[in-house]
Amino acid sequence: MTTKVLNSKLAAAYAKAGTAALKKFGVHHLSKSSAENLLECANKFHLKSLYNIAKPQMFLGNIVHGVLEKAADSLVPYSEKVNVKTLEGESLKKFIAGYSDFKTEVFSKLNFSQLLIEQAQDQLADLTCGREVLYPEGMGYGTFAANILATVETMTKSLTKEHWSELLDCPVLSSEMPVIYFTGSPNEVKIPYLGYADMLMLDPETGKVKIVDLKTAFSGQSQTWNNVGYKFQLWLYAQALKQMGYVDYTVTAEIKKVLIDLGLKRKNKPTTYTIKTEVGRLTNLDSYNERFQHTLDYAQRIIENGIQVFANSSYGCGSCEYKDMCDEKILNDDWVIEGGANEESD
Amino acid sequence: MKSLTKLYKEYAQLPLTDDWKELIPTSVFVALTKCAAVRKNEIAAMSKAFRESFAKKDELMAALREVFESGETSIDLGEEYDLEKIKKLCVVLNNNKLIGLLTRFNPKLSFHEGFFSVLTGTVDVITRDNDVVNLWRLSRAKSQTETDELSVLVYILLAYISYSDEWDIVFKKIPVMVNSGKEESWHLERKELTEDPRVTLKKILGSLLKTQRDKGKDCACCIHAPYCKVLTEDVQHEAEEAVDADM
Repeated sequence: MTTKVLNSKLAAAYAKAGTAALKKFGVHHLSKSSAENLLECANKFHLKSLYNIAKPQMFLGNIVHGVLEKAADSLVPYSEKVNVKTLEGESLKKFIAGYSDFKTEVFSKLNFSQLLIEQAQDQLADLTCGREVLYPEGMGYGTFAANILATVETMTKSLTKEHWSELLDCPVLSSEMPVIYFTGSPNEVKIPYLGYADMLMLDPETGKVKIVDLKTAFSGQSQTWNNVGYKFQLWLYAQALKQMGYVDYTVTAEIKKVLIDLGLKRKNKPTTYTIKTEVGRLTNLDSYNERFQHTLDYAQRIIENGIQVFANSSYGCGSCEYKDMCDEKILNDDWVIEGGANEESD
Repeated sequence: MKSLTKLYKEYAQLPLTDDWKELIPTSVFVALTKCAAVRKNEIAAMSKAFRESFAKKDELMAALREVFESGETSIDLGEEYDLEKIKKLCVVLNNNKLIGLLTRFNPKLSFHEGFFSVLTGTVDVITRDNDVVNLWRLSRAKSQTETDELSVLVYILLAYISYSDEWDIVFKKIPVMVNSGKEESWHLERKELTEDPRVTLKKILGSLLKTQRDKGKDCACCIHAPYCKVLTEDVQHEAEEAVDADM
């Protein structure tokens, strides 16, 4: 993942806040996922910094993200030519129409198949250096890499330019933009939040900025939109953009889901994958202010008071990537089950 | 095999103070360095240069992982490496793969107190045989270098925290380059621990607070040597290739 940089003033403020938080609380910063881990299991929170998880679907998702970032970067120059804040009515319509032509021209020079393969190779190379890697059971680097490359090869035949074009349907203002959110007042020592907004785009109807986050799923099944973590992430980034002075309003947000059916349950491997896309929009992120401010306060208090909860996920420890490394896990192998297999009625 | 019992007792008998809190969070390499530039993180901030200098080590580790996964004993490395020495580790890796014994590459050992990370340290390989856990350090120094036994003791104590069951811990250093010296190993048996290893580590860290440091010390063993500005500006000799990985 390319890391874009913060402006120097913001970077300095972040470094100062992070250093103070690290000295006082032992934690430099939080992200949306580390905050979730914190509330789920302290060991997961700690173990995440020690290991790299090589989970095929997560890895493939990162590859798709990487290609999207490269494509988005090549479209950003279009929006840099004008002050998008001044666009409205006819000027906005003209700008949007011009973007479509610009995108067609840029895409004619992009080889998405090659980008997918290059991303896969780069990310696989990153696995060979740095943190210890936890592979799926029975796999080492060699088999993992071979599986990934074979899957990506099929993805190159399945993901068309039209799919990428659909994901990049609106003018792109930035990709993988680092966002920082400071909780509390300037005099307080509080743990800052750091995240990366997949894309900031211009809404063609309102002319305002929207956050667009990409999610990938590889079973072909449409997943539930009830994931609170998605809403928390988008809310946090929206607040960060306002606090950073990027906008003076609360942006709207979209999640674009790409569902790639790998055909894992089929007897024969498919030669191409079925691809579907879904879009979910959140237009009133401010309605979550109280709810998610509580989440931030709660995470802060947990760390300040050194409260560590373990094995607190409703999914249990059985599916945790770190279970083999963990002394605090609670597995369900001690149940003695009697009777039939009826669902619990309550 | 050298015993670290005497060194261990020197530190275990010290009183525990809060001095260790001044150093954390830290790594074994930074905590034990005698170089002020490394301690102040002046050099470690050059992460890109650090990563590039580590590319050679990554090649060696990739070759070892390939041996482990393939079950072959032959290893694909350049002629600057002493393949006979490395082959011994390859045999261990093959054996572990066959029997299904613990084998880890680039494992990071650590201990934390609450949310505070106290100390981390990375070794190259961890293997288990019978009732012993072996920590392997593959040294790419071009000649025999003296090993700081205190760092070995720290790694062993960190491993005792990670492996809290009944195994003993042994630290093995293999100089992997041609004509770079002989293998060495150290041990501290579990039964010799007189206190929680976390307590001893805090005592060691506290004692390090007072260690005299100047810039340009221990350069031959320093992972930052290839790009260190202190080395080229203040100390007039060639930088050695990075050795003794620690991240």
